[in-house]
Amino acid sequence: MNEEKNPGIPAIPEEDLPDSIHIRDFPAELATAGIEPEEEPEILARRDLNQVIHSMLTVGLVTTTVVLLLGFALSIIYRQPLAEKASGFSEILPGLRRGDPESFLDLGLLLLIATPILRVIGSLIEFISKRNWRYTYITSLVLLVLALSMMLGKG
Amino acid sequence: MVTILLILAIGLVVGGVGAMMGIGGGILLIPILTAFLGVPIKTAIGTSIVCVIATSCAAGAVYVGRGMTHNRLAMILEVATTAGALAGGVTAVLISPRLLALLFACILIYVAFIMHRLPKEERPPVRTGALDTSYIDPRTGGRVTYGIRRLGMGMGASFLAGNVSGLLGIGGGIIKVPIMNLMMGVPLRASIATSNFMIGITAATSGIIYYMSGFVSPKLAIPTALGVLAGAQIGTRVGGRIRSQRLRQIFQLLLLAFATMMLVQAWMK
Repeated sequence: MNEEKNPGIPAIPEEDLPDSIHIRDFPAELATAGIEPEEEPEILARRDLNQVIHSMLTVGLVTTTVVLLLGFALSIIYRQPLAEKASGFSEILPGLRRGDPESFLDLGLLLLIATPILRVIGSLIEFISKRNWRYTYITSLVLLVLALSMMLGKG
Repeated sequence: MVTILLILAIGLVVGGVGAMMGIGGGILLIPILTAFLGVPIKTAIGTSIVCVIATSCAAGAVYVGRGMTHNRLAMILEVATTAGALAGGVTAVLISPRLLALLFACILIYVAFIMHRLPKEERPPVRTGALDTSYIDPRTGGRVTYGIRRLGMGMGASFLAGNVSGLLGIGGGIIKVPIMNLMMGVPLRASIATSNFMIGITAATSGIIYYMSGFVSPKLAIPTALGVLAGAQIGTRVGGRIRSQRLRQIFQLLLLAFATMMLVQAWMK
């Protein structure tokens, strides 16, 4: 299963990965062919991070596409042309309740913009769960810049 | 409906040609939208940035799935690119459309000249002890291990790349790939994968600003993004077969023609 998703990194059988053992404490005996034993924990950590990022991006893109297609379908049904301008955040939720096609399209656009942000949040959680404080800090900085841009965008 | 189909077709062509030439769509999209459809440049930039996010997420998911990206390096450089994009996005909303068109012409000329500068034979990757990582080369099936050089310089250059991206609504892979490959010692394949991956969050930073400032038009952005996504899929499949020198030269001329168009716009408005 993992081999299909990540052909770049050799899969390690799931039964060899008990939850209680931290990834850094892995014994060298588990090393798979072609990898130096001392590199293995790092490669495993990388594989986990890849999986988190891959699934976040996929979920984001699929959700975006579904919402956009729904909006498209609704605007054809209601014979409403696509809007010139996107509406503000506060108008989207009431619009969705009314089944307004415009609001679905705006939500789709926002979900698209949010997809890379979702990926950063996913990586942050992954770094925290691996107790990788250095990268927790670095990833938080990226989120801080994003928060700043949200504040400046309003003004 | 006709307009939507036309915009969708433009996106399709831009995505396809962009993927074949190894560049993102923004650099082609903005001149076409402003010159042929009369879209104001800031709205064209807002449209482009949405397409850039879409292509980066799609390409990024594939590259990450294959383990080609250097995620830790990306996270570090993203601090600089997003900060650059933030500054660029804020500036773009404020400065005159004329100046933006002028800057865009400059970047088009830069791209036309840098396109064939990447070396075909690259230096063998080496471990440096800094952020060493590895990937499986899809051609040979062997593991390629490499480390990073000149991280500080790379951070500075990434800030600039993010700045250009935020200001002009392009992904900026054409700047990030040479930085990583030539300056930091990342193998070309890994540079392309990592750059594609980083572009999404860079574009999202300024995308928020463009959206909130009313420069993202659903009418333009949605059909273009869908077109570019589909076009890129086709382009990557066809791209391997068409790689003649002649085609590349024609493309460079096209970029220079677009640069002239942007200069004319800067002059006229």
